[in-house]
Amino acid sequence: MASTATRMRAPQRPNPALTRRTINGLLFVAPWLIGLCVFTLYPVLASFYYSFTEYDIISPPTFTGLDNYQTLLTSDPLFWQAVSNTLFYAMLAIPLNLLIGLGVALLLNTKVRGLAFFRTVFFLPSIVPDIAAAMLWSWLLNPQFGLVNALLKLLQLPTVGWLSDPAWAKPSLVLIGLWGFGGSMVILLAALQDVPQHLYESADIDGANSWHKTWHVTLPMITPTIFLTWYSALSLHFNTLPPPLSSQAGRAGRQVRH
Amino acid sequence: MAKSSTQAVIPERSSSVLRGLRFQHIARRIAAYGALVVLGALFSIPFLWLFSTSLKAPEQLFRLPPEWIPNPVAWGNYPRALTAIPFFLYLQNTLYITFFNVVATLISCSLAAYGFARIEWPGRNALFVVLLGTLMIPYSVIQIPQFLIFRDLGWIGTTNPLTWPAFFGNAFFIFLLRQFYLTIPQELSAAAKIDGASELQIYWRIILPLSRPALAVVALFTFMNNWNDFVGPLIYLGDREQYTLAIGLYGFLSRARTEWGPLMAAAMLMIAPIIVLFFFTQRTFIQGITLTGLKG
Repeated sequence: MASTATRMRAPQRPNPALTRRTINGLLFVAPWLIGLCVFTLYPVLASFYYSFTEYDIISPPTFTGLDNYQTLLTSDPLFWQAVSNTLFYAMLAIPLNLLIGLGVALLLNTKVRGLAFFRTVFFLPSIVPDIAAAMLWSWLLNPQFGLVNALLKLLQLPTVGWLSDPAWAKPSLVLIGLWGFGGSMVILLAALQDVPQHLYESADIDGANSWHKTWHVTLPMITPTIFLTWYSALSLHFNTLPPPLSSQAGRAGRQVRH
Repeated sequence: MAKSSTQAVIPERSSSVLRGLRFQHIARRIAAYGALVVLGALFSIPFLWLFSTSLKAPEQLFRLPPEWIPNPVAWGNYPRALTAIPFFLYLQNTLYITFFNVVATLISCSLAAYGFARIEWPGRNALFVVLLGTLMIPYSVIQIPQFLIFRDLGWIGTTNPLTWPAFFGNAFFIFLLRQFYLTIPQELSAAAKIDGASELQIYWRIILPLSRPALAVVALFTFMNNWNDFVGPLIYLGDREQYTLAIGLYGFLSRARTEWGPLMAAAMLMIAPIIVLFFFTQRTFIQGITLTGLKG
């Protein structure tokens, strides 16, 4: 330590404390850094390169310029369908999910009894494995014998083909997605419970009612969290559409592909 | 007289105002509980129906109006689900991959997060921005080149592509742990340094013990991700002997499309461990979410 302190006075020479910190820092992040280069950066660059080639994985890639992009944008019938489906989810399904998550989180934040119980009830669907959820929902939404249609019949309402009907496949997936709103709810609830109490007290002094408090105190305070959950739902969603569900959707599959 | 009458009126009026407020308060409470109970019931119905169906014989499935408590109870669906696929073999495979990932992810992410949160070095913040950037890369972009890497390593048809990459960390968990580490007072590290502790000792003796809730969240998320993972095993596993539960159940689903009883029993068997795990860890889990930067 003493030698470090004396040497620090000479700024021209390399600073050994700084060097040591740099080495230590790099050592700690080294596993991630190696993984970044091998499993992320290289694949991204490779994908970018392959996008300009004709490549079937078995024989070596041949360079074709912008051909793939041209096909994608002009003659691939699935591309624009996929873009519109993606926008549909990003702009409708995910905000709907967040809205319900926020609504329930606000309800739970009114100091209700049995908070832990309700939180569990709403959170559980979001941790159900995709494959199990696919099994469950293909049974619930079964056109002939499913519970959802049975209840519709009981209420004298028209029944729907759900996953087997191209027109209803997308709404069905939105419905199934809604069931898992609990993931964002838990995070939003944690943010709500973190809003400083004194803000509400000063709002009380100013004569604010509970609507004012929600609109002018709560929402501005948790806006960053709303964006974070929206963003993570978005990136999660782009990465995993439960494949069993799309194949369950059968001939509707084309309509829901991303 | 006048004075006393006003004095008499004021408390009366304010008490009626109070009563009105109290009434409003109670009405609002009832509305809140009502909404929660109705919504809660609505979101529980799929679970209840799953459990109910898993105990029904084929002829009980299609009764109208729907029967919630099967009579008689058909326990046979569970043995049928356990024998239709080599359930315990798949369970063992799933547990191997899952626990490997939990351990490896905890080691790699807790170390990398320490480098980002507790040591100051040039380039750290730039690399952290890169880390956040990688969160935005969709898996489908890197999927094929990754497959080619694993093919060149001769790992296709083995569990290696599903396990060893965990030692290279996960951007989201590193971010999460870093946020948590930042809340631990710097003085603790400084004091340890004066006592001659190395960074590795500070990491092991101070930071890790104080980060239990955050580590628990990472462990739980990793467990769930791997337990639920469908695409990874589908791409990389070749041999039937290596299948995980998710793949096995998918095979069962496509083979036994109309055997709803055994199918639901199998789904129950897949969901149950996750629910049990959540029940035992929920306090830590919620605490971890509350304390980490996850809430923004």
